[in-house]
Amino acid sequence: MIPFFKKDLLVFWRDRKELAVSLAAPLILITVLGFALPGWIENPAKSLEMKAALVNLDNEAAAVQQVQGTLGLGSDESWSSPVQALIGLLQSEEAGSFVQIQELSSEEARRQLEEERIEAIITIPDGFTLAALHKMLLNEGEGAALQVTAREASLQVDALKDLIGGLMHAINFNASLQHAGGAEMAAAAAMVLAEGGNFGGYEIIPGAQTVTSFQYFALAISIVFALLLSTTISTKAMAEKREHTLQRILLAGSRPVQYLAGKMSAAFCLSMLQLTIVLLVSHFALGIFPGRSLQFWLGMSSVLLLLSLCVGALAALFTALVFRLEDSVASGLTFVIILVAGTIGGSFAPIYVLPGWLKAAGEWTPNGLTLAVLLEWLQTETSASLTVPLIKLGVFALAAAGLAIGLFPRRGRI
Amino acid sequence: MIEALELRKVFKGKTAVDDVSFYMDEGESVGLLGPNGAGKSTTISIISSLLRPNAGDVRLNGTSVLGKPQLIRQVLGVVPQEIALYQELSAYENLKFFGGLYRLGGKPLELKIQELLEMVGLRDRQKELIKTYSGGMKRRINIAAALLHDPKIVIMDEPTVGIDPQSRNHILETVRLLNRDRGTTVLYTSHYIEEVEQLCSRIYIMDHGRIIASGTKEELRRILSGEDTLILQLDKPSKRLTEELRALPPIRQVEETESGLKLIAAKQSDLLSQVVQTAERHQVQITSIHVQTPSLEDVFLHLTGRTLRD
Amino acid sequence: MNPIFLAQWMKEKRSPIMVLAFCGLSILATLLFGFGMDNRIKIGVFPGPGVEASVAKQWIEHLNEGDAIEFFLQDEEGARSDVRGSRADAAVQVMQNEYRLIASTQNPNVRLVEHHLRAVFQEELQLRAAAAYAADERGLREEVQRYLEQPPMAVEMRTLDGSELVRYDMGLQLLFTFTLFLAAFTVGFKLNAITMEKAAGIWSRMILSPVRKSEMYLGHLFYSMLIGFIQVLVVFLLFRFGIGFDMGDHFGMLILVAALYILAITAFCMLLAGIVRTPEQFNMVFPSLVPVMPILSGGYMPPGTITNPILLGISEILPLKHALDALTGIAIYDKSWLDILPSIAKLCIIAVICMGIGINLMERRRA
Repeated sequence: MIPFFKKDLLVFWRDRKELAVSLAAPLILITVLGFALPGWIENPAKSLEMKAALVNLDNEAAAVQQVQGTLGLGSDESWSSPVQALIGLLQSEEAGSFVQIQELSSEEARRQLEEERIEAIITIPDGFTLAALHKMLLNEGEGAALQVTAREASLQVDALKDLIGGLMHAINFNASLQHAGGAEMAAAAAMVLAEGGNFGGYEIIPGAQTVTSFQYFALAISIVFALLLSTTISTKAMAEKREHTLQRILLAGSRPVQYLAGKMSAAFCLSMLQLTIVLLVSHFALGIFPGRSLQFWLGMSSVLLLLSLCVGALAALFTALVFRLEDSVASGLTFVIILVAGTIGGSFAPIYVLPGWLKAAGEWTPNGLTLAVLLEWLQTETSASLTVPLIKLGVFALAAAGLAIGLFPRRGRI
Repeated sequence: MIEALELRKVFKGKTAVDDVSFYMDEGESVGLLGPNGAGKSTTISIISSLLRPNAGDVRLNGTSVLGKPQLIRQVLGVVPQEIALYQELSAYENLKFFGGLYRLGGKPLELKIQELLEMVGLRDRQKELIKTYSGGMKRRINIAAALLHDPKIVIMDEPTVGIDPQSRNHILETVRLLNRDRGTTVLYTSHYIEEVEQLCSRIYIMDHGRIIASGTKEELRRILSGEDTLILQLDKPSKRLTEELRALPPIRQVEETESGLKLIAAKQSDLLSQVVQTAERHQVQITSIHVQTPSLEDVFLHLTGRTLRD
Repeated sequence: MNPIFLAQWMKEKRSPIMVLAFCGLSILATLLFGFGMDNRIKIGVFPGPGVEASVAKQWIEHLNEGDAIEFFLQDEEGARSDVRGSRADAAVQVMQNEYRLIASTQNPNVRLVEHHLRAVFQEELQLRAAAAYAADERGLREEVQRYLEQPPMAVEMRTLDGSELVRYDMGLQLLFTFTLFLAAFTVGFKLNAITMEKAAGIWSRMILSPVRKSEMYLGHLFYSMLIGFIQVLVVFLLFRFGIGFDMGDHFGMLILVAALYILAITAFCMLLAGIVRTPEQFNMVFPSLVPVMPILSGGYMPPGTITNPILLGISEILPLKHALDALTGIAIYDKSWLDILPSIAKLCIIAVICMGIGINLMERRRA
């Protein structure tokens, strides 16, 4: 087996350009994606910052006067003005974290929106307060509508809508209680509000740490490249098949299993080498795993070690396919396997966009399992969580290797 | 009919073909002989317009074809060294496809395909896929695919590499048929001397990108007319004897064979006695001596100092 | 008919399993994504100590009145382990009048869930407080419900021309992304036949025949494009007419943009085939390059997520980005030809440039 192993490594070493590409490509990708999408994984809302204009066409004072007149109330009566509540909300800290509001004239706001200098216009139309109060106090009319104008739908606009909608709903709800139950009930309900909402608690599960974009991409990308390594190794077997190298090897008295074992160990070593270099370089250059304990590194190494075993076993399996099937069918099949495993394992598409059940299915692929386990490991570092996945990876490697040996043609059948 | 003038081709600083000139007359059968890596395939690629030379010219009936490759492509059939066929298709489908490339179709193409299949002896297996064929059968279809458009000149690049004797004979027969009966001009490259000797009237020998000798078989052998080839059978091998023989003045080359030695030496009256005496001195018995007229193999050995299959 | 095109077809006919399996799997994968494309956040709910499961169920009912988040009953251990393993953003423990949000991070989804919880609990508790004074609690609830159907205040979403602003359909964008992404694989896989024919010497043989270079390239290009296009077409047809996805009213335009995308991606594959030399190299480089394209094009993220100028610059050269822009524009915003003209023009430019350079590289290699 040793000579085969040496040969496979040597063949790879000869093609240093390829080796360089397989090391440089993941590093470049990690850097580009990590820098380009900072905080996308840990905090997508960070990029939600937007500018919006407030256009107030409403004559609130006149409306209040008119309603007071209708109801025959004195001007000293205090009013909860919906417009004031809205402006208060927009100036609050919560809103300020993602939207910058400036009050503009209708024309100016429209112009700025067209020029893409702002994302949205909040328009309080003429007669807004009047119509709203009419409905609230007298249950007359159809109520009033605020307008949010945008060029097109986006996350930012949705967030703005949710913000304003939440406020409106609260006021509406209050009005509905007034309407349905009268002042007494509304007051009782208001007590709940006044108590300040002691009904909610927050519990952060201890020990958990946030996964950063860099960490996610570093893991996902180095795992997918390790996976691709298995096809690279088996592709090289295609040339050996074409040039009948294997016959010669067998004539020299070696057993087919030794040839496969050579492939497997070469893929294993290259995968370990690639994972180590890529992760260490990205760690030292970009500092993606700062201040981690020895236990963390050991845990990660053991998972990657088993992943590499899986890569080795897959390389053997794909090699067996090459010798069992026609070149084009073998490479096509390999392609499909990688495509499926890569996609549902979150190697090609970020697992965050996958539907839940596919995410679960992805954990049955070695790459998907490794990614999920390492993400969890990053957050919790409890060694109990590693045992089962490590066994699963081991079983996968054994099964793939067994299948490869089973499929590989016996002596005299090549 | 076709001539190449001072061809030169450099790949990444390595000269693959250097100052190669040769010609072929109509109806001739010319051999291009040389070891692997001598530059035969590159030369052929240049003549067949697949590669442009860095210097030199290729002429068809006196007209340069470097700028007008279509001139030569019309009259040329090239049998490449590799099996340039769709493995997934049958022999018939392959021929039909390549015929289509030459704008052939319908009844004439059908007749042609059957004729060629007959010629290469695979008519009854035409429906089988190429990938199920043996190496020799693939080579025969590989040749047939180059003949669909009745080329006036056929260039064959090592058409018999690594195949069974039956297929080989078939191929040699096909080439002979093409050349003798149909008057097709043939350029045949090989590193098998016997094939070239059998098939070709004129031979070029190439080595290290250069043509080192050319002429008819007889002319080439005449290069060695001042020399004899001695085949000695010895009762035991002896390094010292070999060394001493090599040191003898008339002897040019000594080569170890299975049961003795092969010597190439200048014609000299006392050569035999010199050899016998030397053997006696080393107490080696000569069980037989055979004096040969030189073969092309010997010519090659003489010219390059190595055998063709080195 | 082009003989090179026909030869590809003949090969396919001989062993159709490969292409069928490939396209079939791609279509299947897209379908799976499509069916599972439920963007709602899923949050497990479990009752606190001493609290009946029925209480939790009642809260779940109230919580599920919104549509962005789906709450479901789960056992405490499972819920906590899901949060710990980041399989879930958060979990909720509910008591009679209280809740407790359990999360491992403070991500926006958690904030969204917290918001929702707070609002629902607040309302429900207010209702309960008010109901204490009501003779008929059910009547009160119904009255409130009825009143809120025509509330005093509402928010309208408008576009600049005054029409209603359509909410962005992320599911549709993901569907487009996956379809186009997988089609790129198919196209590349097919186009690799060129490098294979070169390696086999068939290409030289064809050069020597009277067939023009352009015919040779066109035969291959058309074939790869056709296969890729059929794949996209089948997916679109299945989703539009089989499953009834809302893809807007301009199905024909979608198909045309898809065809343009296939053209551009074929050109891109051609460029790659020109850069690498052997089919093996192509098989090695291609699968590691293509998966990056949807990420860089922002295909997996809602529009506006990527703000990095470098990344935006890179995405400009990717066909997928422009195809997605055009497709979502047509399907979601009902855009006209004039509106998507920039995207279409960019697709064409990419196609022309890649094809030009690719073929040039390929030809230069031979000299």
